[in-house]
Amino acid sequence: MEALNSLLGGLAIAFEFHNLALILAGCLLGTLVGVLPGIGPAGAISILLPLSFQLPPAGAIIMLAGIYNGAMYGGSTTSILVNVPGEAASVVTCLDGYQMARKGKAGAALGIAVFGSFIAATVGLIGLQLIAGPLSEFALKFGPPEYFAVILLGFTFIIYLAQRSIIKAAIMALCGLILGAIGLDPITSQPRLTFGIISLYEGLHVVPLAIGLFGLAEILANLEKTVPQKIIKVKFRNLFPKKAHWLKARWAIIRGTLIGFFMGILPGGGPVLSSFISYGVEKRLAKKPQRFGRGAIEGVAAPESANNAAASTSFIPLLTLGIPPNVVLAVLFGAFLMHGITPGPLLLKEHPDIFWCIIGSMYIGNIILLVMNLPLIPLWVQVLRIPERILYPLIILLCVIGAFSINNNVFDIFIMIIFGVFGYLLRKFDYEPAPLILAFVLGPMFEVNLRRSLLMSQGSFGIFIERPVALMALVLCFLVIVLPVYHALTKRKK
Amino acid sequence: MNRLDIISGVIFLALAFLVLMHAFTLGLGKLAQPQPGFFPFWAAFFLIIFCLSLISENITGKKNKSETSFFLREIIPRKSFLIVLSLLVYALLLPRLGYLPATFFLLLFLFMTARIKIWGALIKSLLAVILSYILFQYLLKTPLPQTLGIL
Amino acid sequence: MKIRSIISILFLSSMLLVFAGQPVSAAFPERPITLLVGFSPGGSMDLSARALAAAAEKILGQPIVVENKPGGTGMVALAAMLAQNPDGYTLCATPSSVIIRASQMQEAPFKPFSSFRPIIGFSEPQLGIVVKNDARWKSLKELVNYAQKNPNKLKYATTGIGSTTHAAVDVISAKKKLQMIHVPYKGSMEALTALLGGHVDFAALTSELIPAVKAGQLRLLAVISEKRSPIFPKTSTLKELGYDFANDAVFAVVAPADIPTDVAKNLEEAFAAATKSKEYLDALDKIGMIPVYYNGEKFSEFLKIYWKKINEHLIATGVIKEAATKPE
Repeated sequence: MEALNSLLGGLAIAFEFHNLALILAGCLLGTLVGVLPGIGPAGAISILLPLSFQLPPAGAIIMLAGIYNGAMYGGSTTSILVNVPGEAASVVTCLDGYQMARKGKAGAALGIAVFGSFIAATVGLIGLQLIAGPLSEFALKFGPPEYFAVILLGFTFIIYLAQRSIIKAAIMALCGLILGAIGLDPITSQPRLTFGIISLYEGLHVVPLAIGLFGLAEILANLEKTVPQKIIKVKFRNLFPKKAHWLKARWAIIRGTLIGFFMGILPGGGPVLSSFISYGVEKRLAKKPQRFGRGAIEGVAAPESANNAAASTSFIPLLTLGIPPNVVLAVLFGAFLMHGITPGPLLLKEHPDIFWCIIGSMYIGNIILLVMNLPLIPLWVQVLRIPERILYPLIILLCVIGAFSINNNVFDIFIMIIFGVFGYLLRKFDYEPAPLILAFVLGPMFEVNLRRSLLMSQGSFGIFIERPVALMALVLCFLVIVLPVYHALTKRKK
Repeated sequence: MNRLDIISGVIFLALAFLVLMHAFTLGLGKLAQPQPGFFPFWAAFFLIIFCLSLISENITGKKNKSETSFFLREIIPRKSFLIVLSLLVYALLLPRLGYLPATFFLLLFLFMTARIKIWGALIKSLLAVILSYILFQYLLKTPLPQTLGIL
Repeated sequence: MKIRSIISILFLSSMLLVFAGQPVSAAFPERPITLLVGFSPGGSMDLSARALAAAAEKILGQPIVVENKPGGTGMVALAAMLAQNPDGYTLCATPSSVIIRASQMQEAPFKPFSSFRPIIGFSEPQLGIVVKNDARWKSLKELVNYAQKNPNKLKYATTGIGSTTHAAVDVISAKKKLQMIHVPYKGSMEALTALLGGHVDFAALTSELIPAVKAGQLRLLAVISEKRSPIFPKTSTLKELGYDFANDAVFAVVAPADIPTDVAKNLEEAFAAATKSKEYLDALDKIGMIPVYYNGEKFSEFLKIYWKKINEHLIATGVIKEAATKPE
């Protein structure tokens, strides 16, 4: 009851005119950076950081939080429309979202992404408001062995990401692991596979890699079709998801929300990881997994819900412990400090008004984003009506600037081109890039936590069995691998 | 038997061996203190195993997939090749010429390869380059490479 | 037609006048200065550089544009600066550790002692050794005694192998012959999280420890700096406790080595004045950075002294066999 009263107080502050305007501005800008590939919420927030000094602390922070949430909403747009991921958390949305768009269901895909995002973000906020304290204590219990086990679980989903050949999927995943190992060794800082190029010291960035593998490769592959692609006609009533879509997607949204909810709290987990894992889970649970990668709506609903839920709950460790669990919140942490407010256990005591105002503003921001994004859908779908000879050069432009704006470095454009060609050849040789990207994202976290665990235990693998959370995750991994084999065997007997 | 699979398998196999060699030079370490080479070593090791099984699966020909004809010119059609080339040239010119002229020429070239008439291509390129410049340089404050230190 | 060509000639020649040669004059700077930062926006290096830039541009009378070029552990930005004209319009803000420490561990695209003309050393992070608030050790001495009696029992987190925090703990364990388990993390925030979660027993951290110590989550056993910290004046430094080590990661602004001397002097004076402004000091205080001051010459000396110290430490702990970059 007290929490409700405080929330109402927070809402009242957030509803003041100037704060409302700031939320709106944040949401708009966030949607923009989400839609545009490359520059992400972390970049946008840090750009606005100096400008936000003129604002009162609460106003500044709710605007910056709006950017983060807006980016999570907007990220899926270019993934669905043109196969160019808007930011890292939307890479996996390319797989089915783009296929849906090619079948004339772009509206449904965009719509389910927006609604899924709204539901997930709201659930995440309720969690943030009610059980922030105990949740962050739980997250702290995650040490290197627990991370290792959970990431291993993530890896086992690669089996389900494979559309056709398991061997080829494994080859792709191992290539992803090796690409992820490029850069300075995470423990000893020794250069690995860098060929003396200093821009490789911090490893490859996932965004230029994904823009190349998905976006540019798609264009290169489409160019050679001599027959002009038939123009996709979209009728207005197809702009929004229909009842059938809802029925298919509802469990995906719920599961995606739950996965995002918990992964978001974990330091280092966050939106990117949860989007991949929720996609894998959906494919695992689907009755016809072969639909995935060919335009399954669950493949859009689950990751988009997961990344928004994760975005909301990632505020929990920041606000309760003073620990930013991902890059975006690290920048936001800086923003808090610059305004003389220290996020952490004392925040609720010292600045209750600000704490509740942030939560209130996020509720409002979510509603604004829902209302703002729905009318945008028909507008976005129009993009697909542009003749492709005009569209392609523009998409290439988007790919180029997107890659550049990650580190403001031309080097990333080269990386994008190289992986564009690589992705194009992969198609020709009948390989799928999805396991590569998943392994690339998980690989470095997997390695560093394995090595840290072994350092902690002085080389004994017992550390993974002694700790309950780690053990539980390992048992799950075992089941994920063993069950399909068991099924296959029993089927054969029949 | 699928020749494309054999070719790609051999290419990945060669890459895996290179990584394996590199891993040894980095040092594998021991279990209590794995060294930088530890992880790439195992990744390359498994990559070799999977490549070998892909190759052997295709050579023994248990699965008789449809033969995909392969010729370099089918794999790399001229247009895609031109576009990749133009992008490489663009990335080289960008820091020297600056964003506005370099991107203008890139777009002009891309529109021309898409068989858009010269005037239309000129106008579209100009529009796209200026709009994108305003969006990224001013609104999003991305420091795009400048021309002559002004724009 | 004639008029048009005359106009275009006028226009072109005026452009040439503006950009030809950039003659060095007392009027430096006559256009905006770019300050490159080798780290992502929002980090302590970025925030301190922005605070300094905001104060210095008022003195110089021209805007200072902060441009982030992350990558190569901060080396990409330094290399990008060296690729520009050495006219004083492109500078780089960097931690000294990129010039000294990183270039010993990885090959660097510059010569640490001769490629740069240091302008100013302006701030440093708060380094310290911390335990959780409910830990049994009330002082560094108790911690050291415990470690002596229980070899291989204590686990500690640092911000990475070969980092300043690692070096600090190493100096202690070398002197007291301690055996402890080192768990390196990537950056101070990750190490702080591990300590709060009870996965390690103590940690050596950078500025991220300030809010946690103030909130009572952590207990500060010692600070790692030349002088006592203005934020925690009651806590002893490692030097006071008998360990000869202080922070080698000072944030600095450097220019290419061959910029004109008067331009360098001009910049040096302007930045020095900026570090005294209230605006700058307030901003530093908020982000938990400690103001320090080294002029160009002093900072060059600082680099040479710590190059040697760090080199000895990195070789002694087996992180490297020899420096990956030649200093001259």
